[in-house]
Amino acid sequence: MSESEKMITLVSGEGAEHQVPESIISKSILIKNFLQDFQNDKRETTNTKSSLMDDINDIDDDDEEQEEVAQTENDIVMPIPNVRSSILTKIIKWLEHHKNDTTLEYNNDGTSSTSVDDLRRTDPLDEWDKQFFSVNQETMYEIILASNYLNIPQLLDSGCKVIANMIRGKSDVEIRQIFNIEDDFTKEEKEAIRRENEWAEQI
Amino acid sequence: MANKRRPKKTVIPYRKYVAGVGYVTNTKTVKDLKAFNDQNHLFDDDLEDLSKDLSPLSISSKARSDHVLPMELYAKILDYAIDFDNDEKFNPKKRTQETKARIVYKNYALVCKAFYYLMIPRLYSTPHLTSKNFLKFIQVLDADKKIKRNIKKNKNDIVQPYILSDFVNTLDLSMIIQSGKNSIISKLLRRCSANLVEFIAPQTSFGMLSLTTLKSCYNLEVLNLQLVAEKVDLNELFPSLNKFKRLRSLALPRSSFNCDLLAENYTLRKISFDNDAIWPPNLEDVTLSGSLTNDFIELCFMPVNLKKLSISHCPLLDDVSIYKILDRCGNTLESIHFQYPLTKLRSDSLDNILRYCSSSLKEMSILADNISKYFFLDETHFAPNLETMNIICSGSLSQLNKIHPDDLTIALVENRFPSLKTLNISMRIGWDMNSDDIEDLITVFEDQGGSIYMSY
Repeated sequence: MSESEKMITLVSGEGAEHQVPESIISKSILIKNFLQDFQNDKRETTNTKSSLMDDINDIDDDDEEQEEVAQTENDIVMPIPNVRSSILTKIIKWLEHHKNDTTLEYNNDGTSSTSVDDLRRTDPLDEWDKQFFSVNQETMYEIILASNYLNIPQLLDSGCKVIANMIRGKSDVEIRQIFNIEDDFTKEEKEAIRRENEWAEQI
Repeated sequence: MANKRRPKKTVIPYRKYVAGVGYVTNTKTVKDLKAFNDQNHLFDDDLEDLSKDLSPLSISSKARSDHVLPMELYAKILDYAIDFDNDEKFNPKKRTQETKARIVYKNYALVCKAFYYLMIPRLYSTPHLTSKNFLKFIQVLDADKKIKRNIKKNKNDIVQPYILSDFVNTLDLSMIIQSGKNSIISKLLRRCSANLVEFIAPQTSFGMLSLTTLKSCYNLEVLNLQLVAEKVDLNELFPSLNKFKRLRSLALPRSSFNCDLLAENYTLRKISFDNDAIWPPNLEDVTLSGSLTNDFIELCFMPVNLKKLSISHCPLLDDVSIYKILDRCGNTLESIHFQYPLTKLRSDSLDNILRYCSSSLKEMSILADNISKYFFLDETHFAPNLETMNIICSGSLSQLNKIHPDDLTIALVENRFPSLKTLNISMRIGWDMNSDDIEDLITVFEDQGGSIYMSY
């Protein structure tokens, strides 16, 4: 094993390859879990192989197997078909910038060990993140979707905070415009809702 | 699989609206379109036009006009937005609970049906109820109850897939004064009993009936009866409290019938007086008030795992009972509060409470009326982790200058409160704020990294 950091190759939807150090990309819980499973599997297979080899005593085959194992150890290729290359580049940029962050401990399923309220009260919008998300809306959505898929809770949180900040204090018409959502209420339904929730307005 | 979101390399025509001319169809490259998109000028109308006219872009424009993000992300965003709206740090205008309800309903719930379904549980989980909207709220729940009945009669005709009252987690009726009736409060409690976690009782109209209904709220974690003005019969209350297995926080009513009968019954029935028999098993925070008697305290031990104890308005409790309570639960207490009037206590009754509290004590409010200077001067009184101390004073006669600032200074110099950072002192204690003694106290306390606040 080389002493330098292990690199992971991420393959984007277009087939472009991105080399990322393991320490950076392990912020993505999807990839972290994948790597853990991969290493566990590898350990199991090498164990079974070595026991088999002891029994068979076939030296040539053993050498070949070892070469293969060495090769797979160096190249871990992770296809990420539903993320575009440009988005992946941006995410890697974000991960590199935040690599030294002392972040909240996230469990393997992406939930935080601290309470949700604490998480929300943490620094709302990092200046750098604000700058990072100052892209057109579609790219922003794609980054958020990708971070949701790759399970990077911090990036997902900051993305959601940016959008939350956008819709804050806006009227329903403006929010509909921001999200590109159609108004699927009929006039009667709206009136019924208004009547039902009248109490919330009379305070 | 082909990536459908990848920018298309084909040159696409683009139709735009020019004022006075009408629609003009240009031929633009993808690059131009992207540059245009970057400027954030792509509006709904443009997108609709694009999707009508152009086949190559149809998939991506369809994706845009649909919900782009999954619903759980929208929920997350809305949660953040509501949080931002309510947090002073994010919003210079301090938004109160009142505006919270309005914002939730008006802006976010009316966007589309999906948003409405996301918002309804958030709106109903902590309804902000005042005298003005209380009856309307009841009406809504009543109407909802009728829908529920329809579902039962005819299963195919489901009007509404949820029951509004099931969303209610917190009922804070502290603002309902003279606008509810016993039966209405009782009805509300019954409707919301399924998922009710926190209940703060109103000052009026909380009688026997409501108390009986309260028994059906099995999931209750916080029960606050402190405001209730009507006399509550503790003999009735305690047997129903026992059923709340999840109850963490309990505040007893200020005025109550004394509970000797209950204690007597227990004695007659010869039930063992461990805390399970009378107190909810998981209680962590208790406010004792009302007509709790010394006999009751002696017979029915306090729960063992208490973290916070407040004692206020207990005219019948004497110091023996208070030390009995502390003896039982002092080891785990993190916070202890005394509030006047505790009329049966002597002027130095609370001097020894620190001996009964363990090192876990972090916060305390002490009555200057019931401590002497030996509370601070006794060398055995030591609180290593105490961070906040409030010295409260009723200001009644003969309380002035009972404790001298020097007593406190000596305790600090002798390092008996090494972690103390906040000291709140009531002005009624009668100290001259410009005197040298106070200055000494401030200097010593600031050296320790703490700060003193005087309150009125």
